[in-house]
Amino acid sequence: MKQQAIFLALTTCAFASAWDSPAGEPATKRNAEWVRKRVQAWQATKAERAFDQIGWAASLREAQRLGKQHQRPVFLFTYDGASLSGYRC
Amino acid sequence: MRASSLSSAKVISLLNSYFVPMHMNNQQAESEPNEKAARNRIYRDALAAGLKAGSVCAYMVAPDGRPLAVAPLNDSLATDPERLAGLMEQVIRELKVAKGDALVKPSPPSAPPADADALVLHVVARYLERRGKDLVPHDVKEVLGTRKAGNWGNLPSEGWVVLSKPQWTKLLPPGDVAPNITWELDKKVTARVLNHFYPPTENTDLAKNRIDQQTLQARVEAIDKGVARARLEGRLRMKHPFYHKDDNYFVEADLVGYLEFDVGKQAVLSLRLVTDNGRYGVDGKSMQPFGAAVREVRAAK
Repeated sequence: MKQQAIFLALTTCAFASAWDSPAGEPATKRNAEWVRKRVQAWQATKAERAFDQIGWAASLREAQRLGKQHQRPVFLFTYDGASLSGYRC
Repeated sequence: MRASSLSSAKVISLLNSYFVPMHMNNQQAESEPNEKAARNRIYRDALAAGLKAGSVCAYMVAPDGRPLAVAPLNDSLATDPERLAGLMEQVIRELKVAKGDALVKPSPPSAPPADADALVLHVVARYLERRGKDLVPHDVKEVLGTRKAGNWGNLPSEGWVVLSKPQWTKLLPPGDVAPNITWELDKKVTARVLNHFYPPTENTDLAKNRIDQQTLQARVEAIDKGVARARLEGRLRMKHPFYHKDDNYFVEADLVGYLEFDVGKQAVLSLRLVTDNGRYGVDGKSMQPFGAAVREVRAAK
């Protein structure tokens, strides 16, 4: 329910501008350079990749082995979701 | 949690310096019995210890296997970096953990293994907002790594699509190549890519998608030194439920891109494809802007 509310909030904010196509730009402007810039602009930024700065163990059993060996606690994050949405929760 | 606590510099520093971090996809664990058993043991032990255990949680487990603390996602403890860091510091003090370097070298996710002659594509999809004439990514610099980072627009989603040689060969024109020739790209192959064209949602099961409209036509714009550049134009309309239950959420987008290929070798050199005026949401009512972009990360041979 909370996620639904959040999604709806996003939707409401964006609704006013969701329908119109990019103003004043004829289709001929969508050239190779325009495509290249869009591909680049939509890639994940360094801040959005902070999660990748964490040294995640490859498996839970490997994490447990390392924990025993180095006397460190295991931090296990369990989640639902797959592939493209990655680890989003 | 990924956008909030797991993007916090403080939490990341504690994880790398004092813990052995591990993340586990519950669906993938179903096919790995030993991993599933190890996770279930922690879950049961946490419940037995009177902790709030669940399927989407951060568990902190002592080296001897005792669960010491749990931060469930539906509790602000998990998504408030300051509170989560406080709980982590409590565990560190209790166990007297010595500070050290990360035990596993951090590394970004990488493309899946693929045959040497495969075409490997990277896909990114994200919600957008209008700024002036442009639709641009949300500005989340002030939000990421804080407890305010809790909605689907805070992070993009990414993935890879691997096309085998028999598959990517079907993207090329069937006959002779000359300027201005046109052809429709193979629908089955392009569907493998277009199925990923939806913004972050809880549902990521591609089997729940239903493509209602799919066109992608190529036209050779130029041939230079044996390399043809074809412009791609098309349209996608796809049902993609937001959650794991059926709903009325759809993707609508025009598609624009470029395909470069070696005419003599019949090999794809580059592929770029983006949505134009992409929208996602309840069909005919409220839809919000999103963008999806594909680029090759390894050209086909």
